[in-house]
Amino acid sequence: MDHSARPWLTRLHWYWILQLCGWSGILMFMLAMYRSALQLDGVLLTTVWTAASGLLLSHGWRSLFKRKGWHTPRLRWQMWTVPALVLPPLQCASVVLGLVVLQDARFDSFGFLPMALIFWTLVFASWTGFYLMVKAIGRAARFEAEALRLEISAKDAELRALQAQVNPHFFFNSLNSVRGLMYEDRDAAAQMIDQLASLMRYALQSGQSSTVPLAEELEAVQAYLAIEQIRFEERLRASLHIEAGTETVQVPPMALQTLVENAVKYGVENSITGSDITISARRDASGVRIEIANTGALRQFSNSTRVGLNNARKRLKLAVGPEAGLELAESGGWVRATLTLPEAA
Amino acid sequence: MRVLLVDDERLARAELRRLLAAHPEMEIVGEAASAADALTQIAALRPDLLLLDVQMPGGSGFDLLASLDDVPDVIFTTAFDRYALQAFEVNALDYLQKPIQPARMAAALARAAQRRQAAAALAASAQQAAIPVAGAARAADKGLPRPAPQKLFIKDGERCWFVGLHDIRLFESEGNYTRVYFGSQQPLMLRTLKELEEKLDPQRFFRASRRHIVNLDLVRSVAPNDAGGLDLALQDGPPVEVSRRRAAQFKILANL
Repeated sequence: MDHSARPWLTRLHWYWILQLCGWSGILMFMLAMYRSALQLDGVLLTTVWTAASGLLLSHGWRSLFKRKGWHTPRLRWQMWTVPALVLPPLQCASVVLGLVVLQDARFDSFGFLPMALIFWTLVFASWTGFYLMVKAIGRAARFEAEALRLEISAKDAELRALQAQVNPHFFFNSLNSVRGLMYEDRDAAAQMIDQLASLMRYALQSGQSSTVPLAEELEAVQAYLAIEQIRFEERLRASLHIEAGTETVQVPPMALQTLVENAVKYGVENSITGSDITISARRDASGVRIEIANTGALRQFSNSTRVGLNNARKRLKLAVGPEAGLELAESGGWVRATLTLPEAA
Repeated sequence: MRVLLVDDERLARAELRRLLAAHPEMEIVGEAASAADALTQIAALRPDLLLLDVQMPGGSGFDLLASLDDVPDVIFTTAFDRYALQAFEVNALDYLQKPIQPARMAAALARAAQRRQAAAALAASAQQAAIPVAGAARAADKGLPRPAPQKLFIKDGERCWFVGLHDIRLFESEGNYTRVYFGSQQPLMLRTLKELEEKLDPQRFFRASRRHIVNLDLVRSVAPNDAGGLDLALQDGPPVEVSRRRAAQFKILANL
């Protein structure tokens, strides 16, 4: 609710600034017209009266606009007939009233009326045109903002769905391996099924909370690595170094798991000799740093990698805070993904 | 049939072995754990059939096939690879999804056996139709005991074709590449025309000019041209000119 109240306030603000500027301008114009008569009694006052009356009429006109809900982009006949046929006579009547009250005027003829009507018609028509234009611009900006917001939320939902997904390639390969293992080592096969089940359960539940403690995420990562160990055997050489006290830091669910999966994909699955994979978590001045490293070379960043990395970074900042970061770099034959997380609250 | 198993995961290969045990007519001649390994084993063992994993370290199953001159029959195995399998334009592909169900394995093997029989019949009829000519005699002189390949695997960008040679009308040279005409397709393959010529059966595939090799079985009409050579019309595709120098040889081969 509070984000819709703010634009309304700012719009109101702008409305009054423009209103006052506009009518001051008309006041100045009239004062310039009557400058030779200003020393006469009541003329200055009548001019101010006229401007104020115009301001009030236009504000009333706007209230009518709002009450009727004419803020749709459609043009209506009332939008032009009111400022042309209703407002100018009212204004002229108010001016005559002002002249009578303030200058004690007596009218012999009303020859000035046609010119006055034309003048006020022009003024109110311009006012209406300007008002509609400002409204249209505001509407376009709001529309754009809304479209952007929807797009972002759709993207986010998509990302969550993607992240929560268990990679089907991994899933079916694991099923294949476990079936093979059944004929070699029944106990190991049973254990592998347990690990697959706990990883699946974790992945399916990951959409429910925006962060989990590192310890919980690491459990899933270890289940995952145990499964991949059976698939890739000596090609996968994984090791974990988790500094005591870092287990409580909050991470978005599947954030670490996705990075480990990537390391396995590029380090192990695409390599004949396989790869060492090291996962380490340690505390430093800025918080907790988690590093996932695999041997190999970082390929030239493809567009999808860059987009994927950017999205992961955005999600991370959204879930954990703006200080959180994610970097991918290659040095000395290792590819390292580094998660920087602010200290747990 | 002699089968080579290609998969980078030991347990996956063990599964293939276990499933094939129910098919005594299948002889497992070897196992390969990578594309490079497979390449040497194919050359050494000359298997009739590959059970080939799509995703492997150091090159996909598709890359492996594209690098082969003579492609054995193939059944792909894959865990989940919708997109790679969509790359195929021609249905001469069989694939099994891991974990492989025994009934599907049996059906795929039966289809492979069928393809093998059909290919053998085709080769036999071609053998009968063939007339001993100079080209074949020369090949025999050089002592090349080469059974001509029956199929080509073509990978052009993301798309793949597995095409029988009897369906190919024309090979057209494009520098280091060759454009292959069959059906309504004309993909490029990374081979020079010369490399292809060395592998193809000269009885059937005739080097008409510097730019073209034409399938004699699929020539529709022949007409002499002004240059003293011949113009060949194929079922579809560009007309092929036979140079004067090669026209005489063409007439012998085509039995004109």
